[in-house]
Amino acid sequence: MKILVTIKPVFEEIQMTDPDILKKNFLKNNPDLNLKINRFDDHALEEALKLKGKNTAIEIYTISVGAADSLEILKKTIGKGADKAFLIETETKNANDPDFVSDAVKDVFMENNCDLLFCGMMSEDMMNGVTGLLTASKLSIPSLSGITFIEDISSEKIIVKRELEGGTEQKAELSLPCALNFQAGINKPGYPNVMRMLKADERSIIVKSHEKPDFKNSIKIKDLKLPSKTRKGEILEGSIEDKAKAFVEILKQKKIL
Amino acid sequence: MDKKIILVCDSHANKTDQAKKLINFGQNLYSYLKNEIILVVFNEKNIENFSRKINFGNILNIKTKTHEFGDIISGLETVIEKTDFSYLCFDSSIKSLEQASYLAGKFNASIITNVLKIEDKNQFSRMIFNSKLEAGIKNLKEKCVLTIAGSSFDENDSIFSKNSIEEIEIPHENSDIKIIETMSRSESSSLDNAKIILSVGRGLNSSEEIEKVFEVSKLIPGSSVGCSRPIVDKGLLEYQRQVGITGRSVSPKIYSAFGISGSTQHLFGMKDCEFIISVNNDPHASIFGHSDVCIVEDAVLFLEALKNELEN
Repeated sequence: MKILVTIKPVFEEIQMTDPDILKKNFLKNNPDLNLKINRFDDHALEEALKLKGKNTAIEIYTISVGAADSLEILKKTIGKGADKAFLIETETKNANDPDFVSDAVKDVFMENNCDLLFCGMMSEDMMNGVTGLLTASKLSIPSLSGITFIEDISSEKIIVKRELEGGTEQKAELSLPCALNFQAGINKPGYPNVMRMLKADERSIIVKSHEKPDFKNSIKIKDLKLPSKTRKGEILEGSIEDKAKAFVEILKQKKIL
Repeated sequence: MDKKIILVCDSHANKTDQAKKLINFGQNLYSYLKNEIILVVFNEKNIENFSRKINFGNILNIKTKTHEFGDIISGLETVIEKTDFSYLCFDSSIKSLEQASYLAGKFNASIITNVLKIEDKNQFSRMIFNSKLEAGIKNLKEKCVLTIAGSSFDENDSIFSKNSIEEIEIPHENSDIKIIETMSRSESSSLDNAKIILSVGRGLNSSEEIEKVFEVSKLIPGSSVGCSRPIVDKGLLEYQRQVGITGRSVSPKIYSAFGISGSTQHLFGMKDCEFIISVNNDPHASIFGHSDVCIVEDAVLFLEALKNELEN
């Protein structure tokens, strides 16, 4: 059985990075910020590795669509236990176009006769959540999102649990081949083995192109700006004690205290 | 054949609200495109009554045997095959995203998700980078599938007063996805009746740090402790305390967020709170754009200072 796992390289420390720096780097082909594995994809890879832990006949392939610096990210996936990795080398505008990415993933899935496509349920940068679903549609295979647990798997079907909005959970059965889009926080991704990472070479990481003369982008990302505020956002000044006093004052005004 | 804007409303519980939100969006889009709008609903028993309730008359009611993916999709494919669309619009739930992505793949359409605003004829804005930036996304294809996140679209008077309600029946399709069981985890929570919720996020890393918010909560009558998803994922607090899309939507008098960055998913659950105070050491945290009062401090240190102040 072969599992293909999509790995999107995203900027490290998005939470703590100044939005202006994110803005300057986002659409660049060679950004100045360090890259890491998209958190959601890391959880999806870990689920694949857990299955391989129980059945060593399972092969895990990883795939990234992006610039050459994504190679380092793919080496990490080899270090974690993936058997082979594919880099579809392309410009950033294509790497953020769901149509381009799903086409590239579809081709690798088919060429390698994969049985399962594992994806994170969204990327931390674009937050679209469509890579796995759109690829599945193009492959005419079933797909579900919000997966939290794999209950059982055979060569013909897989039983999973997933989480929907507002605390609703579902148990579902999908026939293979299929695509699963995993929720974050469902497992603890392990660290890459350095020796395995160092051994990763052109036999384990295959660099390909997916440029087709008749391809036209489906979207164009323009006008990155700071989000508009939905509330006043008054910033309290002073020492931490002053701010704590002000907090308590608000509680009194609002008749909580 | 004239292109149409198709709005898909497949909600069970909030069908009227969802339909109204989609119609508002569709009518805003109409002002740019002048394409006719059709609202697609599923298994509506009293469609005339529903049409009056939402004040909209161009409705297609699809009757399916089940409400599962295979039947919904085969209904939508039947509609799309005979109706050329410019935009096919869904709400932004996980199930809608699954349908939207499937149809975008099948009909060679572009897909833009979680649309907040219409910027121009073919351009929409949406949040990226955990709501730290807003991006304008231009659709470059003939057909485009959208999922709508925003709820603040202008309400227009109904453009289509003509009553053209149609019903079609779809035979049952065997799907290769079988839903075995649906379970609800939405038992009651102390968050439901709290006057003030003190909510903690990723800025707190251990049970010792989480304990500090409980110490503060003990000093504030009517308060309860909530959290964002990562805290539940790490096993630091139980699911019943999680606020956000996959947790609870809350509406206390005061919502106070400690060390929560403000992901779109979390903001969804707290947007109806009367007053929001946020504490975060990152001055660029997206939650500050959705707060009434912002405190730039380390959440743990601030909880200690707050405890001292309350004890005095």
